[in-house]
Amino acid sequence: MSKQRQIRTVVGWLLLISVSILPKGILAFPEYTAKLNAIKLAETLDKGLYRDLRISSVFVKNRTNDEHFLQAVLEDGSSQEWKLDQIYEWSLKDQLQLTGNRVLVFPSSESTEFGILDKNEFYRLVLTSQAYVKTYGEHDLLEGKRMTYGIRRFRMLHPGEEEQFATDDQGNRFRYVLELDNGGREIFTYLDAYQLMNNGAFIQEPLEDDIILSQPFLVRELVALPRQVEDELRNIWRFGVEIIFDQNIALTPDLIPYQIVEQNLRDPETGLRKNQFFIQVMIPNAEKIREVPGFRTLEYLQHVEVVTDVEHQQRIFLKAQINPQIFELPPFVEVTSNNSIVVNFFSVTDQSVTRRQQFLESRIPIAGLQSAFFSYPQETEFERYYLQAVEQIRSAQRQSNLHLKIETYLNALDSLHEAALQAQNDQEIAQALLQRDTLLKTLPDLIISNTQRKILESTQMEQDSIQMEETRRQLLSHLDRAADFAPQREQQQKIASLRNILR
Amino acid sequence: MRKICSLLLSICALAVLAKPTLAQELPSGHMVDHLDVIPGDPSYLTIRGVFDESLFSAIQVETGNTPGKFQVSIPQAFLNNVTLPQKEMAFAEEDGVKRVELQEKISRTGGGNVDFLVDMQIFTSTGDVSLELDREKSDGQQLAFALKPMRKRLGSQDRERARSQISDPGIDDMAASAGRGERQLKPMASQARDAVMLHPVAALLMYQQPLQLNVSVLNASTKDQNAQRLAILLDRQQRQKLEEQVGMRLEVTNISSVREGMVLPKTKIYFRPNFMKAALALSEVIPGEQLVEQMPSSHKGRMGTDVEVYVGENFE
Repeated sequence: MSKQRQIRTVVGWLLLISVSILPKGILAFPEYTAKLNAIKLAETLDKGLYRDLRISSVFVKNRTNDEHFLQAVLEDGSSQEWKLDQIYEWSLKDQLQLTGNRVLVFPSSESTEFGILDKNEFYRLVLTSQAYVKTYGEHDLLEGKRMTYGIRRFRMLHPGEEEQFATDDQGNRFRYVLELDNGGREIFTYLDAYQLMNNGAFIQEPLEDDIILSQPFLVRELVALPRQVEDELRNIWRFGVEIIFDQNIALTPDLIPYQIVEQNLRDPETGLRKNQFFIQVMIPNAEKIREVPGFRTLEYLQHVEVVTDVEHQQRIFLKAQINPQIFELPPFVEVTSNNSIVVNFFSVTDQSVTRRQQFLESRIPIAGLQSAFFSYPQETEFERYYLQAVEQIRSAQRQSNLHLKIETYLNALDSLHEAALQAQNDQEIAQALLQRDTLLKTLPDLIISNTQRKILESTQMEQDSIQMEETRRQLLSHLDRAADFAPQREQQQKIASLRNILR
Repeated sequence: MRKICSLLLSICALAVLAKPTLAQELPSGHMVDHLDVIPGDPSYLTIRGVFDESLFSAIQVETGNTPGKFQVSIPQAFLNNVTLPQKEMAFAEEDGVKRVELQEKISRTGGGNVDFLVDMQIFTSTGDVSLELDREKSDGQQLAFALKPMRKRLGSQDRERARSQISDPGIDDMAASAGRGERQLKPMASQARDAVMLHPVAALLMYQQPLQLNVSVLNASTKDQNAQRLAILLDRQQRQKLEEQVGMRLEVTNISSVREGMVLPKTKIYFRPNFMKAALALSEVIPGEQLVEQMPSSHKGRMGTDVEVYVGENFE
């Protein structure tokens, strides 16, 4: 490494370290605000109550051109300078009350931007709403997702309830309870109420198409789905678990996420503690109210069972122990129309998938995309043909008719050929040729097998001559393609003999 | 005497009857007290006074016949002659507004009603700004007009590119919009393609193994140096093992903290699609118990990061 590069690396690390060791509390609530915001705040506080004293008037003062604060005159004649951080603290501690049953809320503990919750308006809205749209927050497994729940009842937190004096992480006290039809409940602060109102979280008149969750889905049974081939080109197999419920599952697969949990547990056989990995597929709005037998082993999964999420309401997990070394592909969830959810798992035996060896052997960088996916559908010509090939390959893999499967694979080969011709860089051409070679490795055997079967079928059943002629022509064409790329001598011999039969 | 009495009675009756009638006929409206310019980005022209929020929609802002000239018409408004004796006001040119001319127009209409409005001619310092009523910053005590710099006019190529960027989301965006339940907005062919492409095996076919694994380490614990310590662990002690396992060069691209107050009990590793194996490998080398999850769509704007590690309280 050159000296200059060494210096750059050291400076980079020092910068990163200096950022990382900044104390997290350095970003406290500001003391001053912009003029316009100060004016608006002064008007908002005017004639309100500070502790038990009426605020007679509020003025805006400034320290510099950009730093404004307030001067309040109270009904007892006293005059006080109010910095913004004080106002923020008082708003959290109910020491400031606005006129008209309104309260001041600060959406961020780092910004002086404020909002006003009109509590009367909030009560009227929530009491006349039928559904509540919940948007899941940061670090929830459903982060950013929205689900709509039926509202059973709205109420204030009763005195003596556990949460009455509890606060959120910003210090806002919990005030209201929204009980949902599925048995869940949401607890809101004033800030939550303000934000929910502004985000349209309460639906007064749901549309016909709106999916509103009411009763939780009760899990009844687990069914193991046998192993079957998913991708014969890479020898990828699929197996699965079907979770059967008491009712239709009104969820889309994107609302059924998964996580992998690492737990330090004692090994039942050796008694030693070691880290173990579990996959947990989460089903929201669901409950397990009775024992549901699981499976001790299912392919590479161990201890497959349905468990209740103890941290969240109305959530269950399909949980199974995995070995992270062989867990290559994520699960794929399908929602069926038979009151069930199917969780598909994949076993990959072809190690070329990860191409580790390729990396270890050559560390010369290839210029190209860093992204894991092509950015379709804003496609280059290469991407257009390559994605077409991917669609054709996937379509072929789902085709049960072997003859049609081969036809589709051959079309995919043509698309890959076109993609290779359109490639703009080494990475693209490598990708197209790798897929082509994977196809070519499997296709000769498929073509030979299909031709043999068709010849046998034609001897067993009577077919009209035109149809037979068409099939014969297609099979010969398949064999011609196979002859071009069959690598083994044995395959070549078989192809030659099958050609003779067909001619 | 009787005449005087009947006259007084008539006057009283008229007064009693006339008062509610007058009150019913008086429409609500605005009173303009004072004008001010607040420079900034954007600058604001604020009008202080008394305003009826239900009438804001009737306020019209029109672009004048010369650049930098705007005509604002505020129906049902009066000027406060006490606080606004002058009908023309000048401002510092660097504040964004040069001059404002005010005109109160009162006219009698049929049926004895009165129409009244305030017209303002606003002359801005530069011609490349737009003026619009900012409803969020306007209320019963003030009207706020924002002076926003106009965007550069797009050439035809730029427009085409912008259109393609809007109409052609990447696969991550598609997954995100699927998450938002917007899939029905897309054409049928695209939906069918999504169904194929979002499958893990199809993803595998489309996967181009990058040579570099970009990792961001964020402190989500109360211990100040946790992110830095973990970055050093990955970079100095576990680099070779990790690189051999995932088949990519490891690059710690960011070390920082999450917002104050967010503390995670367990370290969490978020991965982009197709980086699950890399996330699992990281989980194996990081001491303690980890949670490994797919990156939510809200994180996907942070381009250049394949895996995000939120260092939790349990990191020792």
